[in-house]
Amino acid sequence: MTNAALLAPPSWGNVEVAWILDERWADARRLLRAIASKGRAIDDAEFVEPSMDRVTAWMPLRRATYDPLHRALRVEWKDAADARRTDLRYAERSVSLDNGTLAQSFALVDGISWLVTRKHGGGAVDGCCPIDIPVELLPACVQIGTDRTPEEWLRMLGAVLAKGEDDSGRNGVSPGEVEPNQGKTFEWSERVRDLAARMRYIEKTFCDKTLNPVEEQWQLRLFQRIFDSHDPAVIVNAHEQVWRVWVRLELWLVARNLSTSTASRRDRASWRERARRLRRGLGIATVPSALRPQLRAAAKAMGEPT
Amino acid sequence: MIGFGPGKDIDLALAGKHLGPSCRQELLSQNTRARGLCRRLYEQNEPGVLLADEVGKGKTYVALAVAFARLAASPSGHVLVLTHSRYMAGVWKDRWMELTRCVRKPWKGRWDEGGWTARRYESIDQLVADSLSGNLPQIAFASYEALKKYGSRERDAGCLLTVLRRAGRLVGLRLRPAKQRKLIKYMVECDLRSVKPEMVSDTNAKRILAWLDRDTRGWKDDAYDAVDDLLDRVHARSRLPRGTRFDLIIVDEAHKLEGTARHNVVARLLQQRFEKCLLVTATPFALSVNQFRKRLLDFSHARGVDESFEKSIQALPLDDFRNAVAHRVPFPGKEELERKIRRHMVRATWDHERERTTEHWSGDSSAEALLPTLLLERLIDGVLQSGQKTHIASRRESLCSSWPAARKSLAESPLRGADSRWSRTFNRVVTERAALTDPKLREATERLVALMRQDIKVVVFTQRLETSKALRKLLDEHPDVKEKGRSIERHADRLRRHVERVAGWLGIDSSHAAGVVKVMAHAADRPDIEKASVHAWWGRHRKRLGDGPEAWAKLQPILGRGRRLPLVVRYDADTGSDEHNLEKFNLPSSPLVLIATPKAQEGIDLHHYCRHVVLFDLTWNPAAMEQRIGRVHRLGGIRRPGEKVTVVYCFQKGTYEQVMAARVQQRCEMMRVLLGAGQWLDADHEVKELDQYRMRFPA
Repeated sequence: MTNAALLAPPSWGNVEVAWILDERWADARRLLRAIASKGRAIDDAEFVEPSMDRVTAWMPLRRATYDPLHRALRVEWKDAADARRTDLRYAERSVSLDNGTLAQSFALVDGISWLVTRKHGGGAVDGCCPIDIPVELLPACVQIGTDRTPEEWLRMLGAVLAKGEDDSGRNGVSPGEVEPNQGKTFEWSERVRDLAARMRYIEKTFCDKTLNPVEEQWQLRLFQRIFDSHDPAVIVNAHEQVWRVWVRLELWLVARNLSTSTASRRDRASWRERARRLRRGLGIATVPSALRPQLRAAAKAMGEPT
Repeated sequence: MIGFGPGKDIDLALAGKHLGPSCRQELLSQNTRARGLCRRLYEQNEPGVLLADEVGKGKTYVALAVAFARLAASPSGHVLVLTHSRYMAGVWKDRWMELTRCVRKPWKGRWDEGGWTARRYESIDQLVADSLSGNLPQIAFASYEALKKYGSRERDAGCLLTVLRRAGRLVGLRLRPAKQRKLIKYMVECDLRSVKPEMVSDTNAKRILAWLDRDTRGWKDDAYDAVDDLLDRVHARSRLPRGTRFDLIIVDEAHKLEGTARHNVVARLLQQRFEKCLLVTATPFALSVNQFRKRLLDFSHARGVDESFEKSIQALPLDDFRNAVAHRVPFPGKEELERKIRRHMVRATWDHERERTTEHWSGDSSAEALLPTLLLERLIDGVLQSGQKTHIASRRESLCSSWPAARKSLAESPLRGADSRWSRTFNRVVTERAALTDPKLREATERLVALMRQDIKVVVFTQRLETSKALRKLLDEHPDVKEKGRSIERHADRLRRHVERVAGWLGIDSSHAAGVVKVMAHAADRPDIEKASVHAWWGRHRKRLGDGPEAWAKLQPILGRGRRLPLVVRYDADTGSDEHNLEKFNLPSSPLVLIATPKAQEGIDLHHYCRHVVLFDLTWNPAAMEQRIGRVHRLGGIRRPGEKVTVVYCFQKGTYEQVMAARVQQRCEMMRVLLGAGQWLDADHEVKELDQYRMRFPA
């Protein structure tokens, strides 16, 4: 029916026809022809209310809110009495509530951000309710442990470049034919550009005047975690050692930039102090001696005023 | 029809007789190929054929043999040979003269009596003058560069002047002289006082006038390119006199027809002015099979070719074939496609397994190379963030080549100004001094020095001038090379005292003997100062050094006045022809290493005493690598049965070179199946997979 209404004569794109008539085109056409041929007045038409025999979904919740700092889920019922008639479920499990409104030690599961509301005794299909998280508490959703790899710490930081986003369309490679299996990207390019994007994100975040204290503290802790975890002394692979120093250099540069670009004098002083601390802790002395002159030259050049 | 082969009208084996008996079989097969080309052109009446023999197989002689056959069949005919440079036009002319020695007596007479003339043209004006006076030679040699200058700014302005004057009559748009001048000046920058009206047909004039806006009485927005193209067509059609005809045109290095200006020489200037076309190139395509189709379509510019030819070429299922190869699925129409292409192409290839050995100077990238890579990528990111554009692949490629090349590339690109902090850091890390510690350069230096210790001659191809310079510097400063130089100098000093004796033993003038002795002293197989030893050496190298005072006199400027011949020389944009570095390298003495840029990848012979070619940098274009290998892997020189040419690929895993290698590998696939070339790195596995698609194009 839809196809006929949109693409075939005589309707040619008559979207309304396609939407309203829940019929086969052959039937509708027969009907329309009958009307057209007899030339009936509009007053002759009689409105028949369509019957809606759909089962109602059970939607007793007004809202559900999650506090990641206290790991508590708070629900608000449209009618308090519904609490007794409802089986509240999350990730295929029942959620038990204290006083019908609060679930303690509640943990979010990746990818599921809603509660399912099931009516005891049936008579309605399952409903659902999205779980709200206050914006200022969002960063706390990410669990902070100390057993993460440097890469995991880095991934937690803000902006993410889409995987495989490369410059192949802009890089002036001569126009050959479309080459199949051309997913061969340059790994170091991706890592550098991904890191640079994250650094831009964090710099922008700290310059943001509306940043609330909770989020600021979280970002600062993450910033430091990333720096600490990229310790070149604890690995053997020379390439990774250079990479870790590179990450530290980037973080140090962010701190240096923020020491002049943040709004308040107190913040600037704090970033200046942090930059000094990071510079001292780059860890260049721990990399193989052949690599040190290069890295020292880089740190020195980066430290000079632009 | 002319006969090719021993005892027949022309025997190409005779032209290469000096190459020795080991090449005889190869030379005899040239006769077969020449015969095959003639059959296609003159029996099957194809408008053109691609002679796509692999580099170094003697395509020049085969093509000239076809020219000979044509002129023999039509004594008053004309052949035009187009080359990619003036130098090569001279080389082709020399080869033509050589060829005259291998024809049978009745034909020799033609040259002896001055009946068949050959001339090299330096400019299109000379060709036009000869054509006007009816003095076109039987065989003419010219470069595309010379012929592509058929237009000029003055002529453009003259045409526009004619056209604009006729605007009132042709399109009812009267333009005052001042307006006409303004319109001309918009299109052409030149002094209008010296401009004279040129001949333009009304049809072409109307086409140009269609780009005038009647309301504004100015050119339309996108008129510039279109009018420029129309003017080019007008000049191309009118430049050569009306009756100029060539029975055959031979286009050397025909892959260069990809360039628009060069292509216009065939497609416009010579369009409908030639009967048959022979395109000569070892690499008829490189990046795409569409280039191959375009070469075949070039035959449609010959006289008498109808639309059906173009349609038949367009209908060749080359793209389907490419897709089948890429996805490794069967291609049922392979035999049919092969049969069709055979009508238009002849190709002979080297037996790579028997004639070539591949080495890899590759390894995992050094950690020292990582920081410059990170810095370059950070710079590129900065440029992209700022919205500017840069040729990223070229920047990365320069870093793969060497740090000095990367410094230079950075200095000349938008990367320099994008974020001064990162560019400053890059230059600080990759300083001039540090640049010479580039891991890839160091590795190559050690390997080259090892070859030099064994007195092995090597050609090293780099992609960048700075890399060549740095590599030469590293080699020159290497202690072993310095020591070798001192040792050679001692020998040279000793031999120099015996010039008179050597002159007497060899029976040559003492002024010429000085040069010969200098070569002798620098040769790896230098003789002792005793008659028998000197005679033996002379016997080995006499042919190469030339037989006679004229040839020995030519040695003097090549060898120069210095006491010592260098062990390492370069050939690139910075080395002048007066340095004679190529000629030096082709002597049986020092230099041992020639470091060349792409400047040397075509039309140059480096095989006389060299069997090693090092591809220091990968290139995006696999055909370029084939051409480079072909400088050394060719008929003649020190080529012996069973002795292979060594091809070395320098390659660092974990760097951008790995990405390049993967892409070039894919590009090589079609070269592999259609041309039997493009053997790439250690891709034996890939090569076997491709065998099912392999096509062959025998004579």
